[in-house]
Amino acid sequence: MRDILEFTRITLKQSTRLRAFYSAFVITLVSLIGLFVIYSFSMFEIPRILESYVLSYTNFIVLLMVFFTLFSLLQYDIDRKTLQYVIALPLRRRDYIVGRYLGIMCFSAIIAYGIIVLFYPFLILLMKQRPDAPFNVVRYFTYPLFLLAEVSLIISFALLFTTLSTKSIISVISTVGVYLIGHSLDEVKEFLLGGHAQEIPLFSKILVKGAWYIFPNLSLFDVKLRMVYNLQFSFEEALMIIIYGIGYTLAVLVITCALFERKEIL
Amino acid sequence: MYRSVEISSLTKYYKTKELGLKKFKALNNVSLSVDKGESFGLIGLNGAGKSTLIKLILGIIFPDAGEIRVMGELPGEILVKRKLSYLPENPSFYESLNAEEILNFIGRLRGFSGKDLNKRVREILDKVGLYAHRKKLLRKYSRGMLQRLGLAQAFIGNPELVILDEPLNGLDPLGRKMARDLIIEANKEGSTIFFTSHILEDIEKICSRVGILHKGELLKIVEAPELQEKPLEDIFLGVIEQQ
Amino acid sequence: MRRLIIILLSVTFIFVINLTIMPSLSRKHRNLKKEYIKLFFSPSFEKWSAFEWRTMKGFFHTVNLRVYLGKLREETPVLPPEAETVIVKATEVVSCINPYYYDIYYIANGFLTWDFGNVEMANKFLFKAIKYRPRDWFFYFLLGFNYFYFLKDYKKGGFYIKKAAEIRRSPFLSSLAARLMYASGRTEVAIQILRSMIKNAKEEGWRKSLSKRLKALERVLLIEKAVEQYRLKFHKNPRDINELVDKGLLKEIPEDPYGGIFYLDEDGMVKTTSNFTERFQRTP
Repeated sequence: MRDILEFTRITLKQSTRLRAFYSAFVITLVSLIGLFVIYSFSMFEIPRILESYVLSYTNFIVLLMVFFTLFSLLQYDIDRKTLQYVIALPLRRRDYIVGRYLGIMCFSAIIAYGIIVLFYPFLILLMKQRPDAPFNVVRYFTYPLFLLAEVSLIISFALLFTTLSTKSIISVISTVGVYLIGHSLDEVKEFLLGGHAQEIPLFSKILVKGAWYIFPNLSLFDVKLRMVYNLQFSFEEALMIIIYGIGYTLAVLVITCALFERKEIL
Repeated sequence: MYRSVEISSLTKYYKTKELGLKKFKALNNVSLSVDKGESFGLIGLNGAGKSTLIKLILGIIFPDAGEIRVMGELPGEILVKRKLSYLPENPSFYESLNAEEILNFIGRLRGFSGKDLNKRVREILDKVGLYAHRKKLLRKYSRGMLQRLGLAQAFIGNPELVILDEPLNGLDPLGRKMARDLIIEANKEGSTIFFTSHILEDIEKICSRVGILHKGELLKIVEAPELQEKPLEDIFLGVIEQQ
Repeated sequence: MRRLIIILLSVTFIFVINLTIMPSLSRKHRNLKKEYIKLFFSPSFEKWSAFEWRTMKGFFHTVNLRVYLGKLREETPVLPPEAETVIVKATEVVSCINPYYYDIYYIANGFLTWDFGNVEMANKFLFKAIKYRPRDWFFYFLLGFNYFYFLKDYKKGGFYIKKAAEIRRSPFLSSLAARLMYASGRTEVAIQILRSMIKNAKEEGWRKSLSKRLKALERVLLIEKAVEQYRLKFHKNPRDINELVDKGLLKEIPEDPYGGIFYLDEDGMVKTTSNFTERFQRTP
């Protein structure tokens, strides 16, 4: 456990020292201005569009930083072969996987909640000018949990692909692929198998259905509409979504650790 | 009482595209052993299999045939890794960290903490001449500085087995002397040294036994008496030319 | 020194091209952009390609639409027919991407009814709005208004305004719905709405005004019931309101609280010369 935490610390240190992280910080300050611009562009329900903007921006920056961080760290480990050295350290192979996962998760959580908290006073200030729609504070502050559940899956898949590939760029592209597929699954399945498309061959149907059962359904974690429009969202359903994310992540991490145990680091 | 390293009939293949997906024999039936407290050198031409052998000892890759035991255990076991250290050829550390952070990290993995760890880190940084640069990020380090850091992390905490792959690469003459002194001092204090190098002069000065690896085969083990009689270069060339 | 001069010259050059060439290029680009607004893909593709940023994509499409329509308005007071296609397409796309987005339904309804007379399409979008935002009284209200004003369907108009009134609990809306319902013949419902609304009315003056309307409607109902009885007995419409009194179905012609006189039209519908509007009375 101690070893995992040590490597988590190292990962977190590396992530926060990326140049991209400083750029993201500057961009966030600039995007505060965007909040005021959006405010002046909206017609009705100002609180909703402002909240949409903040949650969408948080989503965007966290994903961007996760992909950047993954690429940078994996580039070191795989391309520059630092991994060979790390494996020789007094660290279990699985500690490396878990430490990397926890480090990037902590990093993501810091960014997500940092943005949410930073924007909050400005949000309240502007909403007070035009309070023509309700704003649910609890939902606003719990949104990052769902984003982090999604990010958790992305990180675990990135680590899985690290184990399977020999070049960092392949890992990152594959992870982006999982992200795109994960978000498209529901739509594509509904469109192709819901009778909206013309007759499609059986093979395609099997492929789509198979993909639906294998790949993670990332669109479940996009709860922005529900948060912003205060739609029906029971505690049980919210919990199930988080559990789905955590459970799937655990499964992928276990597979990754198992594969990594006997991976030859050439 | 175990031996530090015990290798018997070790064979390792690599798959290469150049040979049309055929297997390339990197190591062929290698057997050797290194006793506790010994200073063992491994020499050979480029591509002889030195790095492969080291990776097998560390558990970074796995053998296709034969057996390895490191301090009585299988390579890669956490108990083994806690008692050994490794300096790779051309070390590449995480450049967004600084020397102090890396050494603190490794020290904590080796079980040290608090004031004891701080003291050890300070001492080793002093020995390798990096104390003044301890807060500088590694991306600003020169090749020689990285090598010194590599030595520092290899010797911090006096590990039982130290594995060094070309440890004197990239060092200036003063640096090489420092490195040699470090290695000899650690050996005197009981650490087993296993190191590879192209520079036979260094091997001669440090090692009590030398193995000659050529095209994946261990051709000869040169014992201490023979080392004192003839220059190592002559022994080495003689063995190679016989092949 | 030389490097400084080179840097300063380069910065000056950048300013110069931004002040000279760029503005005209930008104008041409913005004109082209007017064409781009028409380039929507299918709603489902737009929704898929928005991934997790549906709310913002919907917002930006709507802003683009507003800018496009605003520019068109500047050029010509009467919008061209192609603008209708753009509005319909944009609304289909945005309501698919984010069906909870308020602004798009409001804009679509405003333009489609008043500028293009396409009330059918406007109502189609309003029904979608109601499906996703069932607790918003305003879309029911707009629907009611569309039926009443544009389609002259008083019955449906009253029906939807009543729904809006129920959600909003607005006395004004209740009164309006009642008025429309009356025009469609649903006097009993109108009376019910007014009764409940009088109960909730807090202002004395407003309550008085509503009570007057209630009284008027109750009297209308009285006459309507008499007309119904006449029809059952004699299988035809009464000639005029006096006949109802003659036949003993009405004791007397009730007094219109608004100062008018009740009469029957050719279809036997109860009408009044005052038309239930409060005659404005000047106090000396």
